[in-house]
Parts: sequence; C-alpha cells; structure tokens
Amino acid sequence: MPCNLAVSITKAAVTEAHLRAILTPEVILPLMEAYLRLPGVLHAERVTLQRQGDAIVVTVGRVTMTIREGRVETQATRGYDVRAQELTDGISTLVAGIADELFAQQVRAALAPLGTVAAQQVTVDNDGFSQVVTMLMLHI
Amino acid sequence: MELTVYVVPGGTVQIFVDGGQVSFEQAQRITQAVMAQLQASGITFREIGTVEQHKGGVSHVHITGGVHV
Repeated sequence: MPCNLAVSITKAAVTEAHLRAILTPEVILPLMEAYLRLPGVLHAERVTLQRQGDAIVVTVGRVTMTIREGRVETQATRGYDVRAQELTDGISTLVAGIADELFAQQVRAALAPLGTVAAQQVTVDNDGFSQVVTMLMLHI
Repeated sequence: MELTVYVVPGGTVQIFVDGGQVSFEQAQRITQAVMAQLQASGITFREIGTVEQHKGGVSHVHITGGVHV
C-alpha cells in the first residue's frame, strides 16, 4: 500500500524475550546443519553439532560456539580469534534472521482468523535504512 | 478496509489501515482489534505506540521497490 493512502499508522515492538523464546533448539538445529553445508562456510575443518539441554553446541575446528536463546557464546584456542569472529558473525546473523522469519510467520498466523493474508518480502526505507521486511496484507 | 502489517527485522511491526471511505476512528478501532488479536495469540509486546493519523511528520517505512520471492 502506498503510504499516502493510509488513514492510520501504528508501531509496536515485541519483547526481546519473545524473540529469544522462538529460537528453540528444535528450530535452530536443522537450520544450523543446513547453514554449515553451505559452500564457503567451512574451511575443511572438522565439525561437530549437538544439542546440550536448551543449547546447541557447534565446534568448528578450534572454535566452539554455544547458541542458547538466540545468543552465541564463543570459545576459541589462542591464535584462532579471527576465525572465531568470522564464525560468530555468520552464526549470529543466521540466528537473528531465523528469529525475524519465525516472528513474521507468527504474526501471519495470528492474523489468519481475520481473513486471507497475503505475504511478500519487500525492500523499504526505514528511517534512512534500507531493510527487507515482510509485508502482510489483508482485506477486512 | 485494507490492512497492511510490516514485520521489520528486530521484532517490530508497523500497521497501516486504509480504504476510500475509512474514517480515522474506524482505522483506530480496527488497529486496536488487530493488536488484541496479536496479543491473544501469545505475542508479547514491550511497546505499543498510539494509533496515529497519517500525515506529514509521522515516521514509518516506505517501500522502495524490490519485491523478493
């Protein structure tokens, strides 16, 4: 909808706890497996991926990352700091993207009782920042 | 009445209501109903802004193109 047609605009923000709660080990584990299979992510390193309670633990070579409630904690052998940062950045971005996608799915499901919801990914200008967002549309 | 909800990275939503014959009061009511629906589904909000009449000065997302499939 072009904004010049809008009658009203409202903004709301969810709690960080809500987003973190979406990121269960059951959700993270298969997506992490798929991520680690992407070309270029691994550098011929030995990898282990396992669930430990409410966390997912990934070890890539000399770097171990623990992902719990959307947070990534990293431990690395001395001398592997750059690789640790690279892996942590990649996985943090992945986890944030998963949270955004799942939240959009939650909102879409919540709106479904009101009518047929159409969804698109669109690029927007949000206070000067270009972002890809999910646009959900329905006729009431 | 047309409802558009933008789900923005980081856990925010922006709700737009429009329609040729829709008054601000009607848009306000439907927005409040939508927020109630989202909360009833279990989504917990830390901040809910007021329903603002669309006019100059209201900051919000603008589509710049690029529909992604």
